Amino acid sequence: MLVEKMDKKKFDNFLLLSSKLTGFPKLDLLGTGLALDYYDLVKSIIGDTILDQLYNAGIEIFSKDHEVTLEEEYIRDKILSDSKFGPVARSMIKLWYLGQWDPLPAGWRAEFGSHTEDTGRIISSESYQEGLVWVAIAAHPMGAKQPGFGSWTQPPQKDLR
Amino acid sequence: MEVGLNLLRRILDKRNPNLKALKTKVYDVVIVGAGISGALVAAQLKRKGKSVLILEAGLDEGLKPSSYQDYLEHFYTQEVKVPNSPYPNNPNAPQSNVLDIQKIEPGTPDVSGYYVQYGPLPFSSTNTRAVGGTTLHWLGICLRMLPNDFRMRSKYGYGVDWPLKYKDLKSYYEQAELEIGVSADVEDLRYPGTNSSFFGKGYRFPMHKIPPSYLDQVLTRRLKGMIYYDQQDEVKIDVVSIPQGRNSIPNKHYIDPRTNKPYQPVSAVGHPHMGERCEGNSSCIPICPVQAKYNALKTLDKAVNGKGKGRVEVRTQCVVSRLEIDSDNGKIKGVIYQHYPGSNKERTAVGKCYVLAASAIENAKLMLASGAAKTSGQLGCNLMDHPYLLTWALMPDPVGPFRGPFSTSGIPSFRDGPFRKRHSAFRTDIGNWGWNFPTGAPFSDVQLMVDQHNLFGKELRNQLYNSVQKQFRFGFLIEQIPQTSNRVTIDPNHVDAMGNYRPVIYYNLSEYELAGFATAKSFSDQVFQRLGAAQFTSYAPSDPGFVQYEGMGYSFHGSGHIVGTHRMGNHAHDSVVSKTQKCWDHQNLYLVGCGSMPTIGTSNPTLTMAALALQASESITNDLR
Amino acid sequence: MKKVESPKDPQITTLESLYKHLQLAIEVEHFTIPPYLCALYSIKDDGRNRVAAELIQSVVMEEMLHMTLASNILLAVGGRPDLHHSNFIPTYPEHMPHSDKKFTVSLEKFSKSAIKTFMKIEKPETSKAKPEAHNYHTIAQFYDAVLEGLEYLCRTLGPDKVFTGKKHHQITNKYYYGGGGRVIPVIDLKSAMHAVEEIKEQGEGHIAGKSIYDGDHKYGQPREVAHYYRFNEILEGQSYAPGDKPKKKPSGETFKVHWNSVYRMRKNPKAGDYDPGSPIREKMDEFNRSYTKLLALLDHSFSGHPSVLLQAVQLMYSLKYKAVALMKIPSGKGNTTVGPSFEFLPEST
Repeated sequence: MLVEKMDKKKFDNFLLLSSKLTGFPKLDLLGTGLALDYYDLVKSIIGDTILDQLYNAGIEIFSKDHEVTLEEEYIRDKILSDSKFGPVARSMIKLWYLGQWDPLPAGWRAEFGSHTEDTGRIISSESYQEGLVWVAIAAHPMGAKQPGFGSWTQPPQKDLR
Repeated sequence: MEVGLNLLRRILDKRNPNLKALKTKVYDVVIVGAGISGALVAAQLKRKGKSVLILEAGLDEGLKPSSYQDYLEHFYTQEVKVPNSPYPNNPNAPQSNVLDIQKIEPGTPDVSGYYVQYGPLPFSSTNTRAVGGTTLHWLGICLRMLPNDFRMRSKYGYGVDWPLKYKDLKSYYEQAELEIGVSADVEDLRYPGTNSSFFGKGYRFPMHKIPPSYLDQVLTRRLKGMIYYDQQDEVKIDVVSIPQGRNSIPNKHYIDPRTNKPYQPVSAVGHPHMGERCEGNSSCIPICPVQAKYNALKTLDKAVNGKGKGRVEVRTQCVVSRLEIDSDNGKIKGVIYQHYPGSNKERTAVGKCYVLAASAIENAKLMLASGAAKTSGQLGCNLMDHPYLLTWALMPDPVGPFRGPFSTSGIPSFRDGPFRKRHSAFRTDIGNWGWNFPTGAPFSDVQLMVDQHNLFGKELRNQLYNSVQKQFRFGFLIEQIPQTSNRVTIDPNHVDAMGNYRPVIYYNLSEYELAGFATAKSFSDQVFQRLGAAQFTSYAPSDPGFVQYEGMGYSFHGSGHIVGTHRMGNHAHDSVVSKTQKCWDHQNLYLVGCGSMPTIGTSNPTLTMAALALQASESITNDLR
Repeated sequence: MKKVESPKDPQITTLESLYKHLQLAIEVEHFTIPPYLCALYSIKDDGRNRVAAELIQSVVMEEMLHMTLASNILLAVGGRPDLHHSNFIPTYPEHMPHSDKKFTVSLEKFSKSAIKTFMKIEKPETSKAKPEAHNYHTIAQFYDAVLEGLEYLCRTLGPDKVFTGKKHHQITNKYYYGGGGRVIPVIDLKSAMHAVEEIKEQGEGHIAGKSIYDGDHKYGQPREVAHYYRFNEILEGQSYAPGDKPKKKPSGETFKVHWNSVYRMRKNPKAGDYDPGSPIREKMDEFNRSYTKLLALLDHSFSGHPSVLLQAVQLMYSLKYKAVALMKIPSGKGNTTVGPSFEFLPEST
């Protein structure tokens, strides 16, 4: 539950960062219904301190009006290449795309601490079905969101929505 | 596996462990196994007014819509979606799992899974021990064997001849195609070495073919006119729709002889309107969410609840350990089983006639455990599979993978021909699910692109589309020739939690199959060239199914086809059962299933198994008169 | 608010009047679909309301069947269904047509009050009051008028002058699948009456008010209770058992209904509530464009091109997933979510 205003700001930042990292608009992420669950999961794995630091790093990048390519460079430099934030960001991307958490590398855990939630698994049957990979490849989650009889005879969809 | 155990515990907790002892009622027929063979026999016997008891080792989860849903939910959360992933492993009725298959060290059996594997190669096919059996996770392909498949020895000098010809089974194939509900259009089916008499004049399938995928259409166009030269033999390449037990548009000219009305697709069990058409869930293996794919639950439902003067009872969680045999005349006196959870007390089920329909490996195991069918020495021997060879590539343009059934068309051109004097025949699946089988796509693609290619954001999204959309793969089902050295046996050192034997397996491939691999790969290479597709096939020596032949390496998988362990023949000295699947050594016992097949051909064996089961039902009915 | 136009004649004595009535029938059947879908799609997919969801789903499927049957009749008598026009979709909240304006129907989440409204929609005919000049008291009276009209016209004009539509234009179970029942191709008075009876009985029950069952077993379907009673099962959290009578509570298996396990969809959302160009507005417009396209596809398939139904079904699935996504997106207005608004929005807009 997002009770505090500060917590809501951190959630918004998480959502914005997720959007930049995944290449999907924020509304698409909210449309999975899992944004809050993923926020809680990441928060419990990395802890409040690192979450705050990630938040501040995000503020620095997103509060200014950068050109897209510059913004991408900042994300690379300050987040993906960072030894603390990089592995977290990569696991976040995979979480959104696959509904599956990939544990942080042993080196990260040695330096920053480990948490019981940091285990490799599909989070829930809903997270599997809401994986963004299926939207990205213009298909549907195997075993769910059936598209209907005969749909497979059509040429592949170009529209990635 | 942990999650599977939780599911299992939840299911068993709901069960009432008090099973009233079956007073020694004598049924007309006792059947072991509630899979497709057992279900078909039971349904036929019910129509003939017989009393039937089916003993099933596994759970009855699938029969209620809510519990079938449990299978589905379980499947969604499995990281590796192998065929048995929705169906939790049950220590009381353990089953094999693809995840257990490993390389075998010479001299040390692999005991990590349910099978005890001595090798040298791992037997890589699994089955499901639950009500509905392996048809819960099967693909659904329904191909008839070709006429020459029944006479491999006399025609090509390999394997053995069946005691049957194709034309003996033809009417049973038709019946099986009705019982299962097969979708195909005869005018689209062309097989090497066959003519219009193969299906016969005017034959129709109950439903029209499953519409071909976009990928099929591309390949049909691009491979038109292709000829492959297998030494001096010309093989004309043809892309042909695959008949399957999957609901499609009913053929309005097909009048169902059981109702005298046009055929109606059979919906999901307990759900009158679900599954009347394939909805494109793209998960046939391991589970069809809507049951548009045939599964034996549908036949069981008919057997138990449908019309007929007889009566069919299904008792689940009853694991059969052996048969009781009359030492004077060899007749079966009873079936010994234990029910779980609860005490391990042995109970006996008695019938006038007995049918083992527990799948080829389990049937053989039970017979061996009972000291039965010793005359021929063939019991447990001639274990066969279709080693499945994968090749994969990127097409020049998007082809829309991960949509529709696993495979809607294939290339049957190598199913028969003079080359069978030199190497295995094979059948080619055109895979609609990208590289899912060989590489674990699209999950593996995301991991690769994020972790290795350092992509993120819109670029990641675009790259995923551009790459995965072009994925396509072939699957080659290679015919395996029977060898007595490929066999199942038992060993008191290897038992399961209930004290029943685990199958001990010796398995290998011969040069005949490996030469088939080589031809398949060479054909695949030529197709990729012709398509302008970029080859990504790679086989690693560390793969469990890695083999070498003429300087090249290949990796094979199992097709889920377990065949041959109690083969039929004309004589008791070299076969276990007769052509009606009656056991030579035990006159009131039938061994029904793929185990009775002397050769495997290139067709997925379920349709043949179904035809044989229907034939056996007639013989059983006659016996009971 | 859009009004559903009633024909001027209380009795049908001309083909024109019959066409108007049948077109109205299609619109009336469609009227319930967006509200039922909103209730259905607002139920979270956590497995806690499976029974309730399946009950609503089964009713929706039957309403779609009714639309199709009404359209088949209209086609059969030489008319042409019109689904792709701006007045086809009601502007919720809207009075239920031919209900004496006793209650309005909204697009809202699954709740006790929504289910109670649905029961009002499906209430079995017990009104003996004669239909008045421009209005029928109940949907059943409306269909009775259609039946009478068909018989009258066959008597006065001859069946050949009435059933002039092409047989191969009819929707059959070739392309119509997956629920609601067996679709009936209409080719003559008998099949037309068959179709009307199926609509009446599925909605209100066989011998309305006297039995909880629909007449479906006559059409080769398993015995199901009529819509009104299905909704009552949800309200009571209990299924009807064989032998239960209409005025009594159900006495069969109980099941849990978790009324809180829903997405908190805003009541009667409108795309216009959000600024043009805003992300939420764009998502709502996307849904509405797709829904409008669905109506166009249905219009096309119901007008002599049955095979187009396959494309329509595919679009229905795609709409479901879009609707559920909208159900999950916070609206920014109180603690509610956006939800689908089902508004007419042609492609070029």
